[in-house]
Amino acid sequence: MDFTFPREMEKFRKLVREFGEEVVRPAAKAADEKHEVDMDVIRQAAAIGLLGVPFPQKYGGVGAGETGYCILMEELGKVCTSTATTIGAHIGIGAMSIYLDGTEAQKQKYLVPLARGEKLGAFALTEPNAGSDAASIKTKAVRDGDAYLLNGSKIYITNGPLADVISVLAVTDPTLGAHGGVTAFIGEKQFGIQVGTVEKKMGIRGSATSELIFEDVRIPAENVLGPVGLGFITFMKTLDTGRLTLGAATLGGAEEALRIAIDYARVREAFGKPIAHKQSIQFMIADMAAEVEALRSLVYRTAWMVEQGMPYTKEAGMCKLLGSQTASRNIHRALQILGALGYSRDFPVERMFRDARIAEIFEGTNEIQRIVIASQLFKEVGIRIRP
Amino acid sequence: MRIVVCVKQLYDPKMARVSQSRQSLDLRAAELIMNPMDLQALEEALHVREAVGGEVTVLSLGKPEADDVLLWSLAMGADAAYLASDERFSEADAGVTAHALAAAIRRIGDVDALFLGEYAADSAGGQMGARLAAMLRWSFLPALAQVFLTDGHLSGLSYLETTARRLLTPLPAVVTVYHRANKPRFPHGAAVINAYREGKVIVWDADDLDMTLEELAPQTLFRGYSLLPERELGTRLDGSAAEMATDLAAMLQGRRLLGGEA
Ligand SMILES: Cc1cc2nc3c(=O)[nH]c(=O)nc-3n(C[C@H](O)[C@H](O)[C@H](O)COP(=O)(O)OP(=O)(O)OC[C@H]3O[C@@H](n4cnc5c(N)ncnc54)[C@H](O)[C@@H]3O)c2cc1C
Repeated sequence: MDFTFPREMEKFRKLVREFGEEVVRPAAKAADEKHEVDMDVIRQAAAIGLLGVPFPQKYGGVGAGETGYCILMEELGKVCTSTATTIGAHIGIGAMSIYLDGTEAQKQKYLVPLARGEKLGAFALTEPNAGSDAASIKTKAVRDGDAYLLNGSKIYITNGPLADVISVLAVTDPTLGAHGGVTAFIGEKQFGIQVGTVEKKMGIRGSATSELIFEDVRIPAENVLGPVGLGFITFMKTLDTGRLTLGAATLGGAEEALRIAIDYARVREAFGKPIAHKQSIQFMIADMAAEVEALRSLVYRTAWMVEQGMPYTKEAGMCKLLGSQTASRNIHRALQILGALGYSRDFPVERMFRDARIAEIFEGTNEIQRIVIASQLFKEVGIRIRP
Repeated sequence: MRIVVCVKQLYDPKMARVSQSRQSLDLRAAELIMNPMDLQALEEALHVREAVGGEVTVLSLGKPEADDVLLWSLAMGADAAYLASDERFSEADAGVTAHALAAAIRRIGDVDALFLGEYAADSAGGQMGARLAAMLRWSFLPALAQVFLTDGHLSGLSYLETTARRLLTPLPAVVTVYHRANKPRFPHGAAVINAYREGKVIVWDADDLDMTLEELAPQTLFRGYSLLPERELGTRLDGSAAEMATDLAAMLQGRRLLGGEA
């Protein structure tokens, strides 16, 4: 067993960390306050390949695999959850769906510019009446000559207002249900997809989430992603990798909280000595560190499983579940250790606290993750359970 | 056009701890980094290459692990990398280092310009550029920014003391790049992955460089650090401005630090 990172991965981490410290961190506060994506940060990330980290170089990517992608998300998760979200939705679900199930021609046409960061991606599954219950989507796709006409609306779509290329799931045969009747498409904003309401959010305010409206949007038949009728599988498979890397982003948040807590406990004095000498503070910090290590092991072992071609649905669900809880808990503890300073807008913990909460909800709520994990566990003993 | 850039690996001075009691530097927590000034020298060279074409070659003297700074330089865009590494360099002083680097530069051949950082962040000696210029008998332009190359000449703004002077010299020349000349680029992620996977660094030892015993013999001997004693906490004065001023005057007079009559 070898738990060390290969040298090129360590150096890739150094690159991302320096970029994170020099470019992303200084912009995080203003993006949150303005409730706007800092496109300058995204463009600078694109210029050094950070919008295509896991994809092979022949598709314009960095070729750093799942491990490199987790490293990217972990380092971004430390400095700005909004940026991690914008880039995560672009790579991890938007472009990833095309990488996993696209034809060679689709990869050349869409994956290459996405990986190079010339275009921004999104992934549109959720609808007003289909959140956790994704199989009950209503957006319709009707065949019309050499194209499909899409009608319906998607909500809470990360990068909705900014994306050029949008993977969409729609019903092609209402009689067949989710397995057989639902198809994935590669949409382009310029096909006529309209941006509806842009959400006002509690956290990750430096990322953009919106409604996308489809009114007779014509998508060429050659843009069907994966086999007709099997789009649900493409989308669920994509969410598996998304959950792993979301876990990596939460690892970054959890580590940052630990670092801030230690730094502050060393210097803040109360009753004559630094609060680091108080056992209740030490215990919080010890728990934070132990949970960070557990999460780190899980995240990178799961990344390794992906690269080995092993099944990892259960582990990806665990990354997301454990990660979102660990980040929220650690930030909660760090805020407690910082006292009033933790609650102040002048200090990043307040933003981190608001930002962390979303990880318990999107890419499948934590309840849904438990269902995913449990159904895998029961499958292993021959029992099939349904949500 | 071939520019050689000398790059050095060193312990991050920001992470070195000074142990007063043992009169030594504790480097256990310090990371090995590329001298930040050398990053700027490389950036300046890449910039020149982008303007006039040619090649940028990086050169380092160090332990085998110093290949790290060369691989990072390749990721940033350098075309080739050489490492002078030999057990016999372990006691190398500035003179031995200069001999080795000069030999490597001659062996690389067809070099039009040599770029170095203004000084190294650890030793802050700042003498390698001048030494190499003397050995190679090339002209020397120190602390240069806005470096330009035009038909056989090199020019730039030299920031010495408080003035900047525009200097021009025929090639070949040695340049140290001003420590605020530019902002080094981030390498592309794919370039980092490829550079470290491929590991294309050519290693030369003292024999490859035809170094004589004389050139390998250090002229200076390192005998340890002499660090400033720890400073004691001063006395804190309290009270109104007038009271503090009176107290301060009394203290200074008490220690005979104020002239005039008591
Ligand atoms: C900021 C943000 C960004 C988003 N980005 C995207 C995106 O890019 N693309 C996209 O497609 N979607 C996106 N979403 C949507 C997100 O994935 C959904 O909000 C999420 O899946 C939950 O759906 P819902 O909000 O409709 O909650 P509901 O499904 O209505 O759930 C409500 C509650 O019931 C629980 N619940 C539901 N079913 C069960 C069950 N079977 N057992 C136990 N409990 C259950 C849930 O866990 C939850 O607590 C985003 C959402 C937000 C807020």
